Amino acid sequence: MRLPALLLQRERRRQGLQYQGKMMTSNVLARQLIGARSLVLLVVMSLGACGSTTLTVTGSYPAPLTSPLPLTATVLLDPAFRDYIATPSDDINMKIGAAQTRMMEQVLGQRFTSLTLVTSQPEVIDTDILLVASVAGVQIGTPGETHLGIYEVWIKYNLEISDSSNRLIAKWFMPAYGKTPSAFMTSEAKAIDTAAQVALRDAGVRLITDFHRIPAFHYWLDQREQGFSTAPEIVAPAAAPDIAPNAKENNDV
Amino acid sequence: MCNALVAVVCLGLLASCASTNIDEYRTATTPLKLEHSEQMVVLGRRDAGHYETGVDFSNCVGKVMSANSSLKVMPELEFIDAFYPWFEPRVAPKNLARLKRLLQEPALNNKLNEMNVRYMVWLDGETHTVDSSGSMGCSIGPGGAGCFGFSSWDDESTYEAIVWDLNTFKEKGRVSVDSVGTSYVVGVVIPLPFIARVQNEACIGMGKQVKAFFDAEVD
Repeated sequence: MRLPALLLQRERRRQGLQYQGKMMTSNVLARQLIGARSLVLLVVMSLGACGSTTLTVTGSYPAPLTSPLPLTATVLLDPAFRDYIATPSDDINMKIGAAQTRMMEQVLGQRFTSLTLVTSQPEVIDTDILLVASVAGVQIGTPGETHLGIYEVWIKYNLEISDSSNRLIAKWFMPAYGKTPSAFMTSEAKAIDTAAQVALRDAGVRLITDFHRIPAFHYWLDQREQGFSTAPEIVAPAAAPDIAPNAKENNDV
Repeated sequence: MCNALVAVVCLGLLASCASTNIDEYRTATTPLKLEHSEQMVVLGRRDAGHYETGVDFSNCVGKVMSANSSLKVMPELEFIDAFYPWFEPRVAPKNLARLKRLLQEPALNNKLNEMNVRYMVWLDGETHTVDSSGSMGCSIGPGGAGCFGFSSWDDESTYEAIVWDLNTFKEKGRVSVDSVGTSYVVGVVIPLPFIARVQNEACIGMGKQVKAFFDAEVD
């Protein structure tokens, strides 16, 4: 193997012109140079393999095939939700804000007859309900931990549903789950991304199939359809009748 | 040395094959009809906790079924997206009675009619490594690099396909496939892999057998 002449000259000057009474040949010099540089490269690559993994969850989320609820809704997805970065472990950061925002917009857009998206608490709620979404937590499971040969992601959402008077109707903790098998030559980041996409799709499933079954919300919807204007008592019981200003009106039902 | 290397290569090529067993059950001996405007879809089961039927396997079976025939097979992901969320792992129908109830949703029923999907083929199973042995060591140094050693592993593919007729809501047949094979890596300075394509053999066997259920003219 031959190296550029300039490099060889520099190396000869550095090591001295003689070795055991003989001039060093270009091949011996070349082997020493390559060996040293290979060792340095190996050490740098090994150190580069350590450190944290940051991944951005991608994916497209289709509009669901469903009949909408007879409601108009305002959905609050604040900047904390839209830019959410989960840290399920010390060495993994997952940017799921953009993907979960896309999923919520697509799914909730079909769940109600009309949807208004806002990024901060509105002063006036001019729809039937206000829905506030936040992330309660994210966890992952890897083959190294579970010995199952799959990557798993759990995302837990907290949804608060209020009526047009901003009275709380229901709080719903909605867990979503996604998994993907580990595959040869697939990086951990790619596998976790895929599992997170499945989890977000699962969250969409919950919003379509279970949202109207939330007990307090279901009661409220039922009461509304029958023409009553009460919200179910899900907070602390009301005070004595002579203190609560609206107690007589509510008891007229 | 040269003769020994040739002998190892030949032995490896012969050994890294897969053997496949196929069983089938049909409700009728006459082939199933698929009109020119109708299509079918091949879907994988993903509701089990510890395994799932890969999308690559479903797509492989679909390709084998539609190759050189008039059968139209819709890609799995396209179908699942079109019918979202009703075929996601959490809510996908496990039996025909559940599917029938799902189709009471007007939006779902209209979409199915619009896309003219006549048959559903559900695949359930996985490919996994059942045994492994040997070891391989690779090293790199100033003088060069190389791998030495021998390792092998056994893979097993077990799948079952169930064919549903969406017009009559009846199960039309089942096919089960078992495929096993051993793969080797021989380290003689450079690692020489001899991979048994177990999942591929299972896919081809499954695809051809399910295709035989249908009256598929060659294009």
